[in-house]
Amino acid sequence: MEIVRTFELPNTKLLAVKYEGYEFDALEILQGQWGSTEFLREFFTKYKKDHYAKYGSSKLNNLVQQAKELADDFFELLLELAEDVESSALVDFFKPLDNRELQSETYDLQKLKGREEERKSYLRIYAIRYKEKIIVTGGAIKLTDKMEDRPHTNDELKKLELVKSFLDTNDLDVTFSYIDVK
Amino acid sequence: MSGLNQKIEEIVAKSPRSSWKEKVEWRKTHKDWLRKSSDIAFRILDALDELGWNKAKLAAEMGVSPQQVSKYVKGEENFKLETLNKLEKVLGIELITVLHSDQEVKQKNTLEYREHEVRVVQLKPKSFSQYVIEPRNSNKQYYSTA
Repeated sequence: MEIVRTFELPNTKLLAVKYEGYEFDALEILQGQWGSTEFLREFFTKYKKDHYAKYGSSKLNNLVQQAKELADDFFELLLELAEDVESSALVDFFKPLDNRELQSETYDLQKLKGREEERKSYLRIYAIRYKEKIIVTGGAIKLTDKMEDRPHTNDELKKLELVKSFLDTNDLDVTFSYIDVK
Repeated sequence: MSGLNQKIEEIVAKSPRSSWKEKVEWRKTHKDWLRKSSDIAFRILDALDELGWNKAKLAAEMGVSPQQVSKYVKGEENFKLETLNKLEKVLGIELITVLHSDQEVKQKNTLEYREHEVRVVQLKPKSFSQYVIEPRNSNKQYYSTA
């Protein structure tokens, strides 16, 4: 497993995990998927009932275009936040994964989710925060309430665990806050 | 600097930088035509489903590599007119239409229309022969004249 930076040094605020055997890091993979008409068309065809249950009726072509636009906006915002070395806006943007947690509370190595709030986006970027660093582990189109409800979101939980374990083993003195997802 | 923080910094320093940032900037710069490319990709995928073809079959029919077809359906291809023309012929669909000043596009949500189907209608036709695009079926009730 590697952890790659998204900006030139010394900016290491926004990092991404590159898993063993993968050509691309987690952010590049998300960018590839959410920018792909083929991927999104297949995804929304497979999960159209989930989308309908949460958001109502929508045409497939519109869903694909909407998801692409949301993803572009999401990534542009993330880029803007990460570019600002001085501000804590990037860290503030990520919220605790467990909704029961108060959003003002933060913990080192907390499992976090980034969410484009304004349009109630179903896009999620999952990350682990360590002090002022955000380490992106993956992301998903989340159409159900619980991450465990669907294999693709459940996989994201596993990735968070995996990366957390990877980081744990490197510093036993760090105290973690481990949060369940309900 | 804590042990873990230092460890992360060391791992990061050794790893190559992600190309994600450049890709975000590239999509932002080309946003306008990327939307059109995505629409074309969607229509190609629809046509493949209708024909029961896979991407390899389309690649063979087009005389291009499967990788090239994958680019077409990703929605990030800056298509040449020549390529679009060939895709139209191979798939038997209309992908690009140039509207003249006296034409407009209308969309109707009826059973006779496929989802998202649009048809080009003549605003003030002098004769039937002036219609540029024929409907998919023989039902002409959807022609609209101003």
